[in-house]
Amino acid sequence: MGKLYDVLGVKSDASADEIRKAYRRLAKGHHPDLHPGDAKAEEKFKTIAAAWDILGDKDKRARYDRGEIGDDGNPQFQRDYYRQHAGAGPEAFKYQSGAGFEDLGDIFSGLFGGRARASGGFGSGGGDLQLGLTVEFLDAANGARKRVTLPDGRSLDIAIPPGLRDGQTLRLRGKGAPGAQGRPPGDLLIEVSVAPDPRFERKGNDIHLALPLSLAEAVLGAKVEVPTVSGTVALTIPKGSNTGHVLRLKGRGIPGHGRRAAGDQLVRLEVMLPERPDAALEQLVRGWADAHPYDPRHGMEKGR
Amino acid sequence: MITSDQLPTVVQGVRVEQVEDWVVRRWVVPQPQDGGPDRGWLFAEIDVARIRLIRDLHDDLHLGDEAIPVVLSLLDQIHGLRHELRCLAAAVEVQPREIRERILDALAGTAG
Repeated sequence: MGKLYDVLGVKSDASADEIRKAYRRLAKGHHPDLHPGDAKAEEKFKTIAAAWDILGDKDKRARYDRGEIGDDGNPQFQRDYYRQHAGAGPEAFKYQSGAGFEDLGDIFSGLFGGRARASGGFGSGGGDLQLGLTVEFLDAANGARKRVTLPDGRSLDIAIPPGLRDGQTLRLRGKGAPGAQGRPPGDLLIEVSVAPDPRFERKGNDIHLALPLSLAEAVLGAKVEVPTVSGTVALTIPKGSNTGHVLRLKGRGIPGHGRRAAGDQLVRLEVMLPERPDAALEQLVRGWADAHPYDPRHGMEKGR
Repeated sequence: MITSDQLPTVVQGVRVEQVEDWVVRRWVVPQPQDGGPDRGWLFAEIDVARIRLIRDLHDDLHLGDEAIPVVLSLLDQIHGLRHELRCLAAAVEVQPREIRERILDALAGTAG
């Protein structure tokens, strides 16, 4: 059995799918950029990538199995990793984030006897500022402009893009703390919470809504007004609708934005009896039920 | 600096429109060409390396569009932290030997 199979930890008769899964698992564990400080990760990853280069390719694998390619028959992968650029060099600061290190700033300012520090921290670019913002469900769905006031007194108009999700962070480049000594300013990071709306539930880009119907509307059919994130629409309820039926309002979910298509609204019907017991209804149903028996629990006793 | 059109020759398996999407998502932040972003982008070495990383995360590690920004943000924080630690180490390095040793002793104490 070839050594390359050992590298990926699979049998020599493993399926292409098994090999792909094994490679992904190992790559997640050893990709040098996911281990910026581990010098050995690159060597390990090279071995794994070299094995994958052969075993992941149907033709190369067949040639390897026939002995036409050796264990080390592959030219070594020479490539540079992101960590080489992000760790040092003139551009290293570009993506580095100081967000969430404010506590370190506290620790070090204590350590250095309260000597004043630039808000940018350790002489790098300006620090990132973080801010929390709560927006209404409908504003998050449709997009809105919000005015926020920063801790340093500045106010800014923030564009909430349509379809923003709960917990999403908006990054405003260069709107954070000013940088020291000509360094670029930090970013403003706004973590947005979306307040729930009792009517709407978001799943992906679709909106789910439960729509109560009266008995008459369900039995006879009706046209009813339904709220959507973009306003009320008239929905035709077909005759004989039942609890659990779902009607789809195409394109009435989260509005489209950029390349994202609009979602749908899914309306789940719920037939509601009158809130108070009603003698006339009882009498009507009693007369009807005797002549029209049906079993709504049909199939339930079979246990599947 | 290279332009969008040159990217596929430098980063194997990456498509121009894919990278443009990543730029819109701000996973990569290239520099606009002279005359504004309408005229295209210029990618520095660090941008190209980052594109290569995103391609690995996307194609090889099969991470989805939801997971990739999480990974990138954590990596950016790690690189930020490593930078700050290096600055601290450099500040310790230039201290007289006696002070350096006292710092090392104190570190050994807190680690234990």
